[in-house]
Amino acid sequence: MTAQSGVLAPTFRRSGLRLVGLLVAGVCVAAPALPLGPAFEQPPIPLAALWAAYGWASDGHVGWRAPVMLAALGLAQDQLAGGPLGLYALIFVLAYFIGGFAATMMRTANLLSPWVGFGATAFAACIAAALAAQLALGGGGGVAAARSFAAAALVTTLLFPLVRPLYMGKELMTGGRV
Amino acid sequence: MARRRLGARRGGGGVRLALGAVVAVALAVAAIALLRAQRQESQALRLEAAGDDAIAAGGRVGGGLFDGVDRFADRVADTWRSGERIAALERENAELKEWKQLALALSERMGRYEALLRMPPEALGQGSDVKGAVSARLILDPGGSFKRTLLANAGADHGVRPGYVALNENGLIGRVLSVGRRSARVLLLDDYNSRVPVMGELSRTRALLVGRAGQSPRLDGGPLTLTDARLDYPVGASGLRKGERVITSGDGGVYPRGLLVGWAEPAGEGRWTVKLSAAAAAIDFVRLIPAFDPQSPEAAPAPQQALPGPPQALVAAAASGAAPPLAPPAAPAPAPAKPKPVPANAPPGAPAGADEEEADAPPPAAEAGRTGGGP
Repeated sequence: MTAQSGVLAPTFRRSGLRLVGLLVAGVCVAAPALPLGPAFEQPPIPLAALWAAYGWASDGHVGWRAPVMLAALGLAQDQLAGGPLGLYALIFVLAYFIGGFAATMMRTANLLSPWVGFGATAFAACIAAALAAQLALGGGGGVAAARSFAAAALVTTLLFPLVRPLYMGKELMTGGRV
Repeated sequence: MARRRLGARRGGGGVRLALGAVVAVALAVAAIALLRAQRQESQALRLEAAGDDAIAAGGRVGGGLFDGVDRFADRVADTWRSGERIAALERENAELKEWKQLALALSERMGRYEALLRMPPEALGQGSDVKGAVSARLILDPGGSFKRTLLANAGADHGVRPGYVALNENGLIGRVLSVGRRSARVLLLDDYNSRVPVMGELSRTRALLVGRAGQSPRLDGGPLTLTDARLDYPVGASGLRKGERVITSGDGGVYPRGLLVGWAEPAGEGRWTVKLSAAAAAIDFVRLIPAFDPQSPEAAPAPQQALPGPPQALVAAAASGAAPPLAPPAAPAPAPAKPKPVPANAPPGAPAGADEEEADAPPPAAEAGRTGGGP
């Protein structure tokens, strides 16, 4: 019984952390829309969905649910922002692809590699955001509109080491050494 | 052992990751299709309005909670420095009373001037009672990087329509983009897609206010141009002064003229930005007023008088085959007016014969304008 608890405990802990990560992502999607301050001077709130995209892409156990949850988060953010429906969903799903590639490239046993991998993912997501915004908004508005997205992505990258356990398993953080 | 277990886990994870990649590709394609479908604006707005209504309901609950916390914190802070605030408010009230008297006097004078000039009444939204105006509370701030909108808790059920102008006590905020039954989404001035015709209040410099998605909006110095028309020079951009009030110009027929937008700020290299007046304080309540809708003459035609036909003499000559007369018959020449005696108590410079009847008559230019004459 004790041995069984010992085996299950890390699984439950991991599931719990994933759930907390999903909640954090949901809060970060909703928080910019809440009337908490001057409408024209809002601090950039981290794009927690990018954390999730990178973490879940590098952690194969989330499987098909990861892109579905990311698309749902994106649609929620689109609806709250009044933006074209599907824009954020497309960006987050693209970030999932990019994150999977970056995580594979950066799978080494140090603390810096996931951070650099996430930074590369965030940077590529900014480019994807500019292209997707160009598709959705048209009129040369993609690059201009993606500036504030880039500011938020920078904040997201800086905060990544603090929230990494919520989105990445321990074996991924240490290069596979459990 | 641990490595073997990890290897097995990775193998299973690889299959799941491949499944995830397939699902992600399908979702990305669906998202692109959704974005392209929204080029048909009416469908997209309907879909968005339905979502806004649902969010508005949630926002009312969430907003109420935040409001409760805010009110409690404000009350605690107010009791701490109530005496100081009352003194400041009394001072401000005394100043405002003086301004009110001045405003009333100027308003009365303006009304008389407009009556003298026979100007048609104009429904200016700021400070006046506009028929159909609705006040609403802000439910959601702009929540994304790509569009600057806010959600207000009044919709079609309250009489709000797309195109309504949104403003608050500080100035113009934007205009209503889409309307749900109980919510309205307002496109803010600083959105990338926002274009507002404005003018400098003193210099009368016309310009187009262009939103810059989160930064201070830029003033395009070029004039508003009609289709196939081009002007190679900016309209008085050099006359704009730093700190000059920028107001809506009323051009284009969406925003009424005279709504305060902000203050002009030079941005170097002949470019100007506008410090938005609505950004001076947090937006809480908004006033939604009907869009300025100047009807074109064709939309509401007045009963037209028939155009005068050809002279009867020409018609008769054409019917008989005779040569038409060279000129219409001349009107009898008016008799020369007799000079009237100047009264003894007339002021110096008064024209001879300027009695009461002639003084009440409109001047020749006004008379010509009224009868459709003039150049």
